[in-house]
Amino acid sequence: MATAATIHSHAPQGFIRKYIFSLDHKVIGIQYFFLALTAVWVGMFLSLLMRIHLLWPSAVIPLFGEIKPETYLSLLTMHGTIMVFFVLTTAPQGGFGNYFLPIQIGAPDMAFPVLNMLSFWTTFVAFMVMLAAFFVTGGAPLHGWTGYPPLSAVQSAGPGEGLGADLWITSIAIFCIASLMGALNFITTTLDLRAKGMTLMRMPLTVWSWFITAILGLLAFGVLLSAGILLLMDRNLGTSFYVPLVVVNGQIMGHKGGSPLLWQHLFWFFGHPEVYIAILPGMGVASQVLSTFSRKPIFGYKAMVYAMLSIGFLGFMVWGHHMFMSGMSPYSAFAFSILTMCIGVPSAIKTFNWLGTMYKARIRFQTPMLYAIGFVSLFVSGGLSGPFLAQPVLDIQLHDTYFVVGHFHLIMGVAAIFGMFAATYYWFPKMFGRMMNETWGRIHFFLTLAGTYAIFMPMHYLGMAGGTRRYSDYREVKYLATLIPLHQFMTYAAIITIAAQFIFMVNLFWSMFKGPKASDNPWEATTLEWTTATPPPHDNFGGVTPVVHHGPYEYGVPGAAKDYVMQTDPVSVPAH
Amino acid sequence: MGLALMAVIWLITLASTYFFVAKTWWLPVGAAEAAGFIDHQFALTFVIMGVVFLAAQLSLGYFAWRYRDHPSADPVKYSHGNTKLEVIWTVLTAILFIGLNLMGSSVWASQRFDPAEAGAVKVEVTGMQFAWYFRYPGPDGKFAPTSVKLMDPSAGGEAAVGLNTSDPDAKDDVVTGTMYLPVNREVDLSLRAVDVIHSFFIPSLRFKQDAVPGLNIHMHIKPTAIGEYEIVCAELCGLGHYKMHGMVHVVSQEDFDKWLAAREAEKQ
Repeated sequence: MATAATIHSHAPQGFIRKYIFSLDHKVIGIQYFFLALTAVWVGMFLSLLMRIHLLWPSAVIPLFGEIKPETYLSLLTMHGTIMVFFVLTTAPQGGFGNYFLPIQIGAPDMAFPVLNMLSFWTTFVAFMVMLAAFFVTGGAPLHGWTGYPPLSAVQSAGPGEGLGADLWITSIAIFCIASLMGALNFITTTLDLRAKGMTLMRMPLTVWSWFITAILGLLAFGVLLSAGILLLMDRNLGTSFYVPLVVVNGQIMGHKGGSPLLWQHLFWFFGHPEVYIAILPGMGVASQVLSTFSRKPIFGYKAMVYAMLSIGFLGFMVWGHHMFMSGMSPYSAFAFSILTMCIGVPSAIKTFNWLGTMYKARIRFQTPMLYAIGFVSLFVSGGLSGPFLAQPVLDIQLHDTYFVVGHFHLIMGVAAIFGMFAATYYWFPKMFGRMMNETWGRIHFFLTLAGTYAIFMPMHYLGMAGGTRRYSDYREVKYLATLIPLHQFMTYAAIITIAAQFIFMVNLFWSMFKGPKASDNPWEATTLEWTTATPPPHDNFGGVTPVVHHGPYEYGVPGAAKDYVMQTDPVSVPAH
Repeated sequence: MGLALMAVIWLITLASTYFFVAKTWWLPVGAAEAAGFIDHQFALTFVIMGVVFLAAQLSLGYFAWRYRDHPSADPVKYSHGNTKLEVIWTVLTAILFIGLNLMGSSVWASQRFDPAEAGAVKVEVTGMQFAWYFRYPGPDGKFAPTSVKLMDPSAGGEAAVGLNTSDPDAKDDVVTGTMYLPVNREVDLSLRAVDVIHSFFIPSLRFKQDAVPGLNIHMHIKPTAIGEYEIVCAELCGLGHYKMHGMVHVVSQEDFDKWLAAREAEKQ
């Protein structure tokens, strides 16, 4: 295979090689970014339709029609799937990771540029197949993003469980293949292409987060791929991996002896690490931005690295906490529960260190910093509901209620998205050569912070009161009907918060063409991407190979000429 | 900007906390034996997490304001961290989280590791798209066999669960769409599902368990207060998931016997 060095001897000419089938990790990163941006608007639009339906059940949506119970469930399924795969997995890793991991370690490109291009276009195909599910007979599947069989395995179990469900699984399988290719590339690049002096313990925490995420992806997506293929076989070839003898609509199905719990084990063996795949890059970005704008070294760099490693490691041993009520052996619940509580410890370390970084700092409040602080706040709020759900006795009451929905939206949804916003505002100058508008960035931040709390905090109240999730209508059950005012509040909050995202879009595209020109290092940051031109040349460092002299967060160094020391600056810093 | 950020974070934190503390929305009143313990464990977890929540959010807001950059601000404290503090914090959280977890385990164990006590009321719960059926074994205490070949959901009742009516044990089996339970007696539930996964959730009884095709899951509960409690399905089971609900009537032993006798009489 062509190595990064040979391919990057000269930049490609011609529009197609340069912008469409590009081998340049920076172009591929931007492609991933725009794919995820498209996906997040699709996913957000679906959630808006759901919230509108919950408030006005008989409303007829222009161009869409009436939302029937099965339509509501397919909106919910597609919302979850698109957000998890094509936003939370795609943007932080495929987008920002692709663009900045090679630059931050001083490499000219990814280790396997062709594989990188292939992995993007495979992801793109997966997205198209996923969207196609909306347009086939029966529509998109209604089995939720978790796709539990037999509902997801028996074609007659509901509308959308025909071709729509096949496309859904196929799309996920294709996505898994793309992610496996990406993961290999990230791991190899980090291990092999680091510049001279860039030891592992001098890597920015962002690089650590992408590296660990890639390892998780490599181990998790293979399992989901296999599970998905088995599900396709159950659906179309008459196998019975997941389906026992069942009677659907009075008809005896041809399956025998399968185990619905097998799917849950395989799915969550992927599904829980997936949570960390979504959030780890956010942790990396938050650390990077907090240190930069606090003008202070990150508090406990090594502890941050070990915390991420242990989160990644433990993340593979806690999948059963999604299954306390599933009929799984109640004995195993003990193990899963204790291990889940253990994973709270490194998460607490990270929070402690972020606060420690801000302590006695000189904080600059540009938009990236606001989002990083917002990330910490949301990470705390979303994280602290974890120890409720991790206890099987409390999960009896809370499982499959809105409490869970609130929990994971705050932590792996909104916190992860705040990580992406921080990354966007932070790296936009480097990526596009211009600055984003600060005033509109701040307005966007405050509206989004307050808005997302207003949407997701009430979900905890709702869940405590027994508010079940995935219901298209809450008027049928008496006690659920009494909780409708909370739903109304959340719907209004969602409409306002979604409207506020147009501010971001306008700022993004306006700044791309009209924003003031950015200097090479507008934030006075220390890592390698800020040592090169803005935007970086095709080989990242214009023929020069950077040499690294110290760790990534040397701010406020006593006796230094400026309040920051670049990683490439040969001056010595105090030992620590 | 630091001040604005502090104000917003504090406001969000205090407003969120208010609705928890005021219990504007809270767990429904518990009506089963385990509720006392579960609610206590919930409250304990709530207090601990609440303190951490307040401490973390309030200091985050405060730091943002206190350590904002301005011309007369103190110089940055050049520090890469403090290992001692890090270790203390880690050990504290580990003890707290794991301790909390262990405290909750006895109720889980008593509900799930041991079978129901002798003389418990037997009820079989069957979930199907989109209804719950309840079967009582009658005076003989024996459930007659059921068969998928006999299942006819559209017919409801005995036919829906596939009861083999030619079996002698089936004569006194009662199948209903509403659940009745005697108060203060242990109930031996067996849960099953015929088509897809459902989840039997009675919020007031602090009870939830998935009903899974191919499995027969035994659970036991003891209702402790007379009343009517709503049953809902908590696992996405198809387009009618939202209307798969029912009612459990917890009544005195006397009323329960009367009710069951009336059902037996109807059947003859």
